[in-house]
Amino acid sequence: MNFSYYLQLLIGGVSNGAMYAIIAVGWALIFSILKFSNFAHGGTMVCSAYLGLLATRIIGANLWLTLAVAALCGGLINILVELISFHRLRKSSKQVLLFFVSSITMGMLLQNLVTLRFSGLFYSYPNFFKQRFFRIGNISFDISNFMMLAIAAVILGILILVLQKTRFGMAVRALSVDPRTTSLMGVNVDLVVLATFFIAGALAGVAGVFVGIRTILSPQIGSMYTVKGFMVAVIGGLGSLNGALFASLILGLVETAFSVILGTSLAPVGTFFFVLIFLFLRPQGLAGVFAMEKA
Amino acid sequence: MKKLLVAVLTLVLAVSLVAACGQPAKPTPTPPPAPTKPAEPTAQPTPEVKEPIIIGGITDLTGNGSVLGTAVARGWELAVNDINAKGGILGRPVKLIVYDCRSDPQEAISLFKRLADVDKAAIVVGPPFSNVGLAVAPVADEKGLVFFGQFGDPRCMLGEKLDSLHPYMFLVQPSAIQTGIIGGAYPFEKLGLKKAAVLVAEDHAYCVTQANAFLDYAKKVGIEITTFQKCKIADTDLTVQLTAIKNSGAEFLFNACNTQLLVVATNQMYQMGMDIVQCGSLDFSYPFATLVSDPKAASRIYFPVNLDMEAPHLADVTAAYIAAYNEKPTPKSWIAYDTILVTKAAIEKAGSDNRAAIRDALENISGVKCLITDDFRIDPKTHMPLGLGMYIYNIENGVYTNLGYYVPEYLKQ
Repeated sequence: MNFSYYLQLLIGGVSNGAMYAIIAVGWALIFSILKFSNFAHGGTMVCSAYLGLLATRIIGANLWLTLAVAALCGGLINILVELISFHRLRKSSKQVLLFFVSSITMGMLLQNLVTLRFSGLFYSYPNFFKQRFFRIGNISFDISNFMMLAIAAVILGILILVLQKTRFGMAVRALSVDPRTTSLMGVNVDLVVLATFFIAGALAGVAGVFVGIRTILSPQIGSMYTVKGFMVAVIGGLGSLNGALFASLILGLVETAFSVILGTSLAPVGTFFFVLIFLFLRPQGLAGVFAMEKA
Repeated sequence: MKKLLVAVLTLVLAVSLVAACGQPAKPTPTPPPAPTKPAEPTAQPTPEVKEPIIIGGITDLTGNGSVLGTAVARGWELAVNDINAKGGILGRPVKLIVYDCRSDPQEAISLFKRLADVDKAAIVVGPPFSNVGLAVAPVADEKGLVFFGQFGDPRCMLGEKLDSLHPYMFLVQPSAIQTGIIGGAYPFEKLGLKKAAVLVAEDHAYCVTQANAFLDYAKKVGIEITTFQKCKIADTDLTVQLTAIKNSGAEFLFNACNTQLLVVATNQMYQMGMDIVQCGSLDFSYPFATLVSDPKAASRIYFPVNLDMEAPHLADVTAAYIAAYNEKPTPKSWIAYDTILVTKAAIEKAGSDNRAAIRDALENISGVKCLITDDFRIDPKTHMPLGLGMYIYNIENGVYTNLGYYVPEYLKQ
């Protein structure tokens, strides 16, 4: 195989990484303020991806409108998830098991609501791009990969700016350090939590559209990408946005590399082995902050 | 309050589990009312209630194989409704009990045992998934209950080394070997393409057998295999395999995958600017072209189907299917319809719903007029049908065109 083959694989790996990044950053955002892993994130992703698909079919939405619809729906779904599953728990309980059961249950419920409505069939997003690929020399590059990379970079850049430069971002960061003191400083903690869930849900919606563009939609993608999002969040250091970003790229490239080296059949084995070795050597993740997780 | 919350969460969990797992049996058709005599003023005769003949069905209604599996279940249901409307079999109504195996061979074994022991099925009709056929074959022999389906891997009938007949396993359609050779021969013989890449779903028995048949054929006729790529049924991203195929210099892709993977591969090939010819099995047939992201993506595709999808004699069944389910039937639906027609003929030949008698009748069945042929017959030595021809279809911009009946030179020799 020649240079162009490896270059195309590299771009594919980075593009996958961008997709994982959008999922994992939403995951990390919730973990950073509430210190528990929201396993309902995949359910939110799959619901909003299907709602985005409906937008393309019913009103003929283009890429941008589809992303907006999916993000809005993802945000609203996540607000419901917080109010139904976590709000009372946060107020009244610190039991690890309840957070775990609650998030898993919500994730399954959302995924199965999609199954009930759309059955087990799979669907494709329409082709959003007039030009499918472009060529540099004799190498052709997939436009959708570059669009996903660009959109992910812009969204994550805006998110980092919001977290670093705005009062809301300051509140989120304060909440991630000490919720009680943040509350005593006059911050409406519940509102910040709801806003954070909305943002994480919007990211899940965008990720769902990306998954739909790159692969196909079926209710099972929620579970599949929940696992990948969690792996990225763990490698990056639970709760760390920067760590999640780097870990996403690493996971995308490692998966691609193992697919080439071991073959696609054994690639998942190689990837999980890599994660195990990584956690053995650096259990606190890339970010270096060893968070205490509730669930 | 905590207890209340836990109770609510448990309830929600239970509901979602039921939604996920508890795909209920398809509603069974109601037997037609027994003919009644005109009412007499003094006597109220009780109509004789005849015991229904139970036909079991196992297929994928959810999961990776649900597109084809649902089409198959509907074909069965339509045929049973038609049979009941015409008086049933041997004067008895037919009751169809369909279970969802969710592409899981272990689940299929459990369901087959349930149909054998609890539902007392006279015969079980099966899905277009060879993994299920392979798993159930020993159980069918043990229970002495015929499993008659679309599992095209000949090992389902003939054992791992193709030398030991499973007495209760029967195939209703052409085998994976026949499909693999005919599907792969067309680009070579008719389009003059000599370099092939192979993509195979390695965890799908039918696909593996089909790919092996093509590889044997390619070796014998001199087709160069530029790369051999594997994937799995649950894969949703094939870009690594397709990048290798793209860079291998292949002139055509022998795509031995199920419908879901064919859609993924075709979408991603289109995005990557790969315009090479694809060929494969009848998984490319409707609704494949409607599931891809852009009709233009479904182009330069050639595949064999064992019936002419526009044949006038299909019109009535097609119209009834559309009226009942509001969508077009697939070739799998028509074959499923035929499965029930052949089952009816076997039960009538057996003269009862005795399982062993049905097996013996099916083994020597011939002359059954159905949708795919006017003379459906089973080879007693292989339990596979004899004399089924294949038509080659082409897809361009999402439109299917019948290119006519085709037998490769290789098979004529």
